[in-house]
Amino acid sequence: METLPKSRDFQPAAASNLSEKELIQGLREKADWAFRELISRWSDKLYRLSLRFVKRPEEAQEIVQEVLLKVVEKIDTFEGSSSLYTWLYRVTVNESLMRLRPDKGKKTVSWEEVLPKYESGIHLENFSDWSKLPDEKFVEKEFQQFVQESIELLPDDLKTAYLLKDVEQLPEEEVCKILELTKPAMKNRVHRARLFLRKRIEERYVH
Amino acid sequence: MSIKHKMIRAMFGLMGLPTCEEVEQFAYDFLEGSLDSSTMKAVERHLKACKNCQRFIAAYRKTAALVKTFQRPMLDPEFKEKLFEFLVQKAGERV
Repeated sequence: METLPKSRDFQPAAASNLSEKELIQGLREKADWAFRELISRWSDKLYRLSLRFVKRPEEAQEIVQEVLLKVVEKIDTFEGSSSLYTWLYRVTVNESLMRLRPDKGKKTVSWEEVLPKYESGIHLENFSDWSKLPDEKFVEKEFQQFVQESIELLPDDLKTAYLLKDVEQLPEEEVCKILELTKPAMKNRVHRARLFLRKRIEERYVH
Repeated sequence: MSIKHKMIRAMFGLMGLPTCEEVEQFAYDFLEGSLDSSTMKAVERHLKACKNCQRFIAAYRKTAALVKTFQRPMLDPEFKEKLFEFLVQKAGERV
């Protein structure tokens, strides 16, 4: 970014419009505006994602701090073979999952059991269309908490794909890059997570 | 296979339509609109003929959509300021 002076005090008028390349250059020059932009652009997103994994706000804050510190420490060696965007999400996912690992006693379910069952390709059960529940139901704290708890029951690989695709609404291509998955593998994980959640909600609120 | 399932399967076969299991396997791409047009039409025709799959797809669609309305917590501005100072300090230590 030849046009930007190296002064740490210099703040571009529209830092938020800077390209990723310019931001990386600013971080390499240890410019204050670049640190501010890094925080402004990414910290809330990474916080939300890590909070979905670890639940405790303080721990999610720690993850954000560690991830952004890694950026500062490794920015000189960042080769740009993947985007900063992909790298940040990948490190956040890994850091969050690592913190979950000590929880060996975590409650899990045999999620395969709630997947649809077929006989010769035809459903063996009657489904309920709970999407027709009153709209107020979906914004109730209790409902949202139940869905959040259900997401937690998913195996890590399905949960991660589901959080990135459906909750954080990242584009498919980015989810694939972050998780280093092929598109069919990513879709399969998100699909199975949705099947599991659809069934859990049906069992809780319809039957 | 029960007689009922045999009949339903035969009906879908005669109509050139996917089975319920295939509809489920297409569900992700159906929602994304990424099926080729002939498969998309076949799934839509199956759904018109199969109430159970209609209910399934409606709830599946809602499963994908409802989390978009969930609360999106943000970091405390005070924490962000401390984070900024922390990063500046750490960067300074690396000079």
